Amino acid sequence: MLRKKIVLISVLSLLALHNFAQDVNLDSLLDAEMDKKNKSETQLTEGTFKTGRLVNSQTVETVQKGVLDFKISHRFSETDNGLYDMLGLDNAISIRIGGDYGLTNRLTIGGGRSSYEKEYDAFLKYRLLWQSSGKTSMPVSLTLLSSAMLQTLKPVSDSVKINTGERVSYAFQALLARKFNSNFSMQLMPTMVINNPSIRKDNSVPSKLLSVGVGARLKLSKRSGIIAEYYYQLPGYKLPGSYNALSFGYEIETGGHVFQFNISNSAGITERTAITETNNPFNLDNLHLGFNVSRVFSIKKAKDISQFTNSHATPVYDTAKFAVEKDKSPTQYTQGTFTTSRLINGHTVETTQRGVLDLKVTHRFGKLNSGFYNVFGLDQASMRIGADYGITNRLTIGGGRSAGGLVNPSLKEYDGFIKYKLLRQSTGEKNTPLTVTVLSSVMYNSLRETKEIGIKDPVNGGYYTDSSQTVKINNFDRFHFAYELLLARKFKGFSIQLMPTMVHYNIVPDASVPNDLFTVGAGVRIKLTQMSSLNLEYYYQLPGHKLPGTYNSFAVGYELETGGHVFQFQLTNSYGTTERTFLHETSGSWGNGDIHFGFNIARVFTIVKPKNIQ
Amino acid sequence: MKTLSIIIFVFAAFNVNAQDYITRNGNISIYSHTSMEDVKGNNNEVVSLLNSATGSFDFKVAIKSFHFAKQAMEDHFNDEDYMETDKYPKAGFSGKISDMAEVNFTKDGVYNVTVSGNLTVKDVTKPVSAKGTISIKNNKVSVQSTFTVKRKDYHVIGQSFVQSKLSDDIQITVNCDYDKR
Repeated sequence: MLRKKIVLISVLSLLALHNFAQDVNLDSLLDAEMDKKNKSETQLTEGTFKTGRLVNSQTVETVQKGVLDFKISHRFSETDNGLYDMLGLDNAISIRIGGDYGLTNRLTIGGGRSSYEKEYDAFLKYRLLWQSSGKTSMPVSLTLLSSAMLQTLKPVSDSVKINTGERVSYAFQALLARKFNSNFSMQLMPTMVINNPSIRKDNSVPSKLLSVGVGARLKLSKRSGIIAEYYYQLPGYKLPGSYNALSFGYEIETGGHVFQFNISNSAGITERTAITETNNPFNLDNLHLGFNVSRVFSIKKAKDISQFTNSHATPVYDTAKFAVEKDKSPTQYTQGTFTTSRLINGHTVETTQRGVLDLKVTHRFGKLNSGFYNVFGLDQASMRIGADYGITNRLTIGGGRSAGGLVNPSLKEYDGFIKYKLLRQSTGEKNTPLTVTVLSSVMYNSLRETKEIGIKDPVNGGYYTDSSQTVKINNFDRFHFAYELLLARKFKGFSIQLMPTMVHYNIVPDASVPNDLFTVGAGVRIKLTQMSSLNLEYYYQLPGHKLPGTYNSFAVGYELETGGHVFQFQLTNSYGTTERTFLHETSGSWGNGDIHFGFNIARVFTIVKPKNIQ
Repeated sequence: MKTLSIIIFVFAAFNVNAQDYITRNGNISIYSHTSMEDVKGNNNEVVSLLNSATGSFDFKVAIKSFHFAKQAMEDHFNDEDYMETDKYPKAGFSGKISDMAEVNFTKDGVYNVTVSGNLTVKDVTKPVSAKGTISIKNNKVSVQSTFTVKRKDYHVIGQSFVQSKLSDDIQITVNCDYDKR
């Protein structure tokens, strides 16, 4: 009996121990390890907001150490002009270009230039408290912000002298935020603005303007959310005639980019202009559409990056095994001849993947030789907003709207195109040396027939000198067509493209040229690193196919690419980005310094999800 | 006498378990290579158990312990287009070393072995077989192995525009130093 008991006990203990050994169970061991780690460390709450701005306001977020957050913001003119100005989209009344840089993870410096009242701004931001859990628990984040703004608008008359001190404004904010859960964050923003330019104009206004702002973000999905902000100006501490600013936005984020679309009753982007100088109430006629694009660049590599390049992760790929696989595989199609479907102004052989929408925002600023007061053209912008959509992997349709803004007020154009990849460069069983794509596009000039002195005549060329002159433009005459054959080959490290093109004018601006104008273009992309490259593009107008006073289009660009985004910066003598405008109506010359700085942003969105398992 | 036999039995039980080797900070890295982009992730918090008597070999990893050179890469890795870490926080492997007889745990040396078993990622379990080495040095056991898996087998798809930047074959490298339990 007793012996039995002993045997039983020992068997049980053996079993128990054996069980314990085998199943210790790795699950609970892992849980225990993770738990221990969580308790011994403080987890800082990340991503209270997606970026350092809500719509116009700063958020508690600071930039990571060594990271530059490049920001481009636009506020368009008021919506009251209706569809002719595309709800204001044709005129960007306020463009701010700036950057935030992380000195440490908590300390950010930044600055920028806004075209609205020609204002420079600089700020310093410090994250005093950081919401956290784990070892130290902190319920909120608190960031202090101090900024200075310098308005450089020329005085109305030369006799008025303005001291620099009277042009400078200051803003101080305490930003208090809490991320309540992964979807909802809220921020309180007591603010003081010292608005010197307004004090100068009107001595009776208070010198310190006080307001309390509140902002919030509600996530709709992992990558998108809606944002809102409202500033209540304290009675007695506001400028006469100013309204409280209310803004809403929709934001989408991926791989280092944040895209925000917004609508607001304020036209400015800095604290002075957006919080204290909003001139209109929030009603349908007075709203400004706008967008903010933010793109981060790592300037200094993080130190602990070395652990990712240690021996454990040594690539063993480019070895014999892979070479064998390459031989076996029937046909290897060349990927990424170019980064995106545009090189600089013109198309590339690349088509958009099936079910993917590629949103394109393109800007060409004024000429570099327009001087420092206009920041070398940055105060004016000609732009195109459009998109490409992949119907199949080889067939793309697209379209867009171009507006010349102050760079060329007579440019108001819609375009649509269809593009098909006939041949794909490949190696292996099927060997094709080239990729060949054909493109057909149509452009529609939607400029009204009103004549204003100094505006370019879209039909006859030259400039209007007499406002009484009226010429009726037939609808038929507003159309232009372009046909392009794109031949490209990718070599190791670079890609070359040749593009013979024909543009058909239903009515030519000059009698000396035929309706069908031929050009031959050449483009090249040279890869600098895995994610960046240098692009060159030149179009030669064949003799007898050149409108008088025009030049061949030449452009130099630098492009950067990450996770669904392509960012291109360029210098070009063309102000337009459709075939008609840049191929045949480039009025600037590199020799004269008529160079436009510009950028293209391409952002892809998956509309139709790829099938789960192929 | 009775007490003695209990002690002996218990002792014997412990003795069996002396053949278990464990690690709480093993390393597993994943690597995807394409001509457009290389992606490397590194996990230094792998728990694993190796039984030198039976050859049974188990791993468990927390997905969120994989770290990448870029924060954005790490965010993508964990989000719902890829690993869906909130839904599937762990991955694991459970298998056996087939040529255990060749390995002498008491003698220093490097032994080539083959491991076969089941890899579970995102609740999908597929058989995997890999070659690797067991190194014994001064009673320390380390295991090294590199093998590839097809990510689509485990429903790791991602958005369509990243497909050309993400290899279908993901290389997994295991590097663990074990202690006796």
